[in-house]
Amino acid sequence: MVYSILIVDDSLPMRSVIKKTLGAAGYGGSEILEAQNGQEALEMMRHNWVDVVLTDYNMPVMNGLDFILKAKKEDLFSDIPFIVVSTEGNEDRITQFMESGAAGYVTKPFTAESIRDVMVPILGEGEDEDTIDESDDDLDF
Amino acid sequence: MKTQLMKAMMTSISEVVETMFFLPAEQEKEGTVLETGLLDQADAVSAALAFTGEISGRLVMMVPGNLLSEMTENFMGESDDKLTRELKYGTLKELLNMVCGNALRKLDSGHGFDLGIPEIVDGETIPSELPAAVVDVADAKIAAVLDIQN
Repeated sequence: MVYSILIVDDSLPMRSVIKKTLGAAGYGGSEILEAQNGQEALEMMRHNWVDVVLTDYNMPVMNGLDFILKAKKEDLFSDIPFIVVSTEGNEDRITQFMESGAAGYVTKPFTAESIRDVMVPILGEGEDEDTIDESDDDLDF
Repeated sequence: MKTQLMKAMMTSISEVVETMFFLPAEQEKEGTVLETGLLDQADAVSAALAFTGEISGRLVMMVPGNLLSEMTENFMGESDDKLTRELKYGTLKELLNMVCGNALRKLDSGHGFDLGIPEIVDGETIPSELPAAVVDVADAKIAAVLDIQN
């Protein structure tokens, strides 16, 4: 499937790796947008269509948690799923992310499979396949 | 706790290097910074990351320049001639961030640790008597140095 994916991470090497991994996970044809922190990401989201956001937590200027909290307060962004990609993987922190409105969580280091396992249900790709199957069954010749 | 953390650091270096940098890694030994031999390597690059929690301090990673170039090539999927010093430093910071976060998760009781922002440091400022874990990566050595505050 092709999406518009926003990667938010202050590290250029990490943004490159996430982009490369998204390709390996089956999202190679997607449009990839990049931002270095939450504040830059919010600005980018106001001017670009975004289907899903992958964000780091630990960033200067505006961290991932504040970014999600601010974005979720804006009607324009309330339906966009946020996936946190971070080294911070303890239970308290994950609970904090999910309560703030994150749809999923991927810990670093990650693989193409671990990214895909989180993205597929969030983007409803499995549901699409079911829908196609059901509609095929309903066809009446 | 310090012993557990040191072992967790060694395991994490292997996991991160193999998963994200596609290089074989073999845990070698524990010793001091001086014993790693990396202080004598002029091209070695070091980065430090502070952490606070049940145990607080900083983790320093030391990587020889040639290995850092190879790791950056693998990490970013770019040839060395396209890689600037900043990209190599950025890769080392990410390696450190992932190793530290991964190791602390292994010790975590659920309440967590807070990580700082990784920074490049002068290797000469690292006390030579601090404990260090050495991991063999592609015929070179990576050292993880633990500087515990409490």
